Amino acid sequence: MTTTVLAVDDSPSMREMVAFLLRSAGYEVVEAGDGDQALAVAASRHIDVVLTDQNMPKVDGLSLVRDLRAMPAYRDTPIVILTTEASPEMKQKGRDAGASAWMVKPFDPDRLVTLLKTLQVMKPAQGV
Amino acid sequence: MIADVMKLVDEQLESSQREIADVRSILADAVARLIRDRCVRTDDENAPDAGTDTVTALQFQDLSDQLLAHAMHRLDVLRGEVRQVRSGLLSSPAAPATGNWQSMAISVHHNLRAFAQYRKRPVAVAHLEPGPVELF
Repeated sequence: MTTTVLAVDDSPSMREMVAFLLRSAGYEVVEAGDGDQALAVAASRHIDVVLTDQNMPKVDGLSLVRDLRAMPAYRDTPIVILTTEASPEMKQKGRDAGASAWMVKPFDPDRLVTLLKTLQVMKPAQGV
Repeated sequence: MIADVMKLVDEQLESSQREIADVRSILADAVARLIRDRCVRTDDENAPDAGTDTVTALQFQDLSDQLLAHAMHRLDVLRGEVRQVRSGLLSSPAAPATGNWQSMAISVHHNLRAFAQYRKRPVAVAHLEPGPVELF
């Protein structure tokens, strides 16, 4: 079964490239331009992995993580924050919000795909 | 005279903003072309893989754009302060009293200090080495 990734970034070109990379790696990708849009998408369909930028208008990445974790369907879903923010304080906020991983831009495309695969393996089995 | 100087300063700041906007536009256009080129190459099985270079270029544009947007905002704030000073100077036909100068300087100082404190640099990196990954 194809894994569906929700790619959230306010930069259209970055979103497009992430989507292109992941589709090339065999993922199905749905896109959102900010946290609000991402929540609407997540509520309307099944998402296996969320990949989100941090600094976005309206709802930022950390708020998105918190809101998703409050939804029963996304309690255990892998959520990666992909951002230029690299400070330990911000990472701690990500951890506290419930993110699964923190990846600092610029990122290596192969490492991103490896990370997503790792998180999929680590994800608790559903329906158990 | 000082009001004229402030006007010239504002014009220079405005020109700098226009140039930054042009750079952002050029970078965005270059990356859009790269992405289109990358998609065409991907369709051609004999073409060399340009994926990593394209991703690097895109991320370079993304980081640069954030820094440039931040610089634009800085200039915006500076222009606001310059305009405020100029408006204060123009509103008093005679030379402003020392007290007025002082309160104007205190206001500008306060605003710029507050801006410097709350508007942190958005991008910490200045190179394109891949950043770290941390699993929680």
